[in-house]
Amino acid sequence: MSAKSNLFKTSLCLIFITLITSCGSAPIKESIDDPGESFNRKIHVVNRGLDRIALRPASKVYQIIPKPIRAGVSNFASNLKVPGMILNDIVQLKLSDASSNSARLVLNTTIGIGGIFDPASNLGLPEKNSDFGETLHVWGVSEGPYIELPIFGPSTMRHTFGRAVDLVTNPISVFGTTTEQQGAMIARTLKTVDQRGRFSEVVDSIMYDSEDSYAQARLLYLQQRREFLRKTGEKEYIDPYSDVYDK
Amino acid sequence: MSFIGIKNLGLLRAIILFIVLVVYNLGSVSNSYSLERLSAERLIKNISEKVNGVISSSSSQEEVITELEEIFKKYADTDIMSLTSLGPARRRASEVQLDNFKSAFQRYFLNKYARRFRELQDGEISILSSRSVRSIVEVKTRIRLIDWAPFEVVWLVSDRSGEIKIFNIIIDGINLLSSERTEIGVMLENRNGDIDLLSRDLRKLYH
Repeated sequence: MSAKSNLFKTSLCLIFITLITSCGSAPIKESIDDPGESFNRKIHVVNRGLDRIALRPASKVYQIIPKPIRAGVSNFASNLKVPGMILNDIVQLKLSDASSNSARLVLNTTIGIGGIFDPASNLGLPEKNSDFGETLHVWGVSEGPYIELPIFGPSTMRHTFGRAVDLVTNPISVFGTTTEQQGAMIARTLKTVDQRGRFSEVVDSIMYDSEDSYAQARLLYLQQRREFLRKTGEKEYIDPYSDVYDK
Repeated sequence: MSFIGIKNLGLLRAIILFIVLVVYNLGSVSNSYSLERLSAERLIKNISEKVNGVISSSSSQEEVITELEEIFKKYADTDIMSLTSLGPARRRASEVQLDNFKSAFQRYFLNKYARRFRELQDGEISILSSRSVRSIVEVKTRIRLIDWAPFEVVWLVSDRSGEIKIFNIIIDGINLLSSERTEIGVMLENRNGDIDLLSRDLRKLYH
């Protein structure tokens, strides 16, 4: 009886997903939609200050720790995100990504000792990134306005909502003990610190060399995010020659 | 008899010549795009070999930048890059102002990105695909660096300057020309649209 009702629920779910995904992805915007710019700029000033007094110096100190250890912590944090990615792959009907990420999760959690090592990448199973913001995109939800979030930085309405859902549906948040949740949060934070250190020159040049770090951060975020969502789709380029010479 | 023979031979020749011409032209028409794509790919290979040679040499930072500048001048269409970055303001600028801006922009661009190129040391570049979009050729490459996840770099190539040259690079989705257009636009606005002041300040940056 319960097996039967489970089967019924599962098929209902599948029908629902098929219906949703058949609507088609939302179009990828080219322009910048930033109605809350003046407020976003205030948040940006705060974020820049936080970077200057906390993240940037912390990343310099963290670089003292040997690279293999830092890599282990970052790998561990990445591995914790994989179950959520698999869920998103499934609801986006990207089944090959779902299976590749599942194989990755199993390998790295076992042979990779809880995700500290990343044997899967060496075996040709790189992370197939996905998140709920992307799922919403695939389901046809449009990008929404640009938002700069405190601490987390550049985002859009859709991406922000997606992040919140990913955070809440993460197996650690659902099943983990308080200690496990704290451990996961520390690993995530250290990964962010490590990345700030690795990309220090690039981030510094955007945050401190540009005359308008807000506009640069917004542009770079939107370009990268849209490129990620576009996947292999062929891009139309603006031909600067016709703009400059044909007028 | 022989008269007819010669005549026939002439006709035959004409037909053969006609067929050869048609086939040749069809071939060149269908090949023109792939030829351009091939030369674009060859250009990218050349550039990456030259850049690799320069950054893996033990020269000083100054020397590296000078050598990169040579490569940049030779293989990139610096004119279109600077004019595009300047945006609509170029229409009200004089020839002298434009020339001054172009050389200032070239310096600024190199100083800004040359250090980034140094990070590519020991990198491996492989060509993934190329594609013609109207007069543009897009060459997709993948760069592998030790300890880093591989990332995609797209090179946009055109021959509209008269030579096959790069005019834009898109690194992991980030379009250099768009970034520069935004940055130069802001700088110009901050200087009340004064192009000469902008050129002067560009020369001072990233030393």
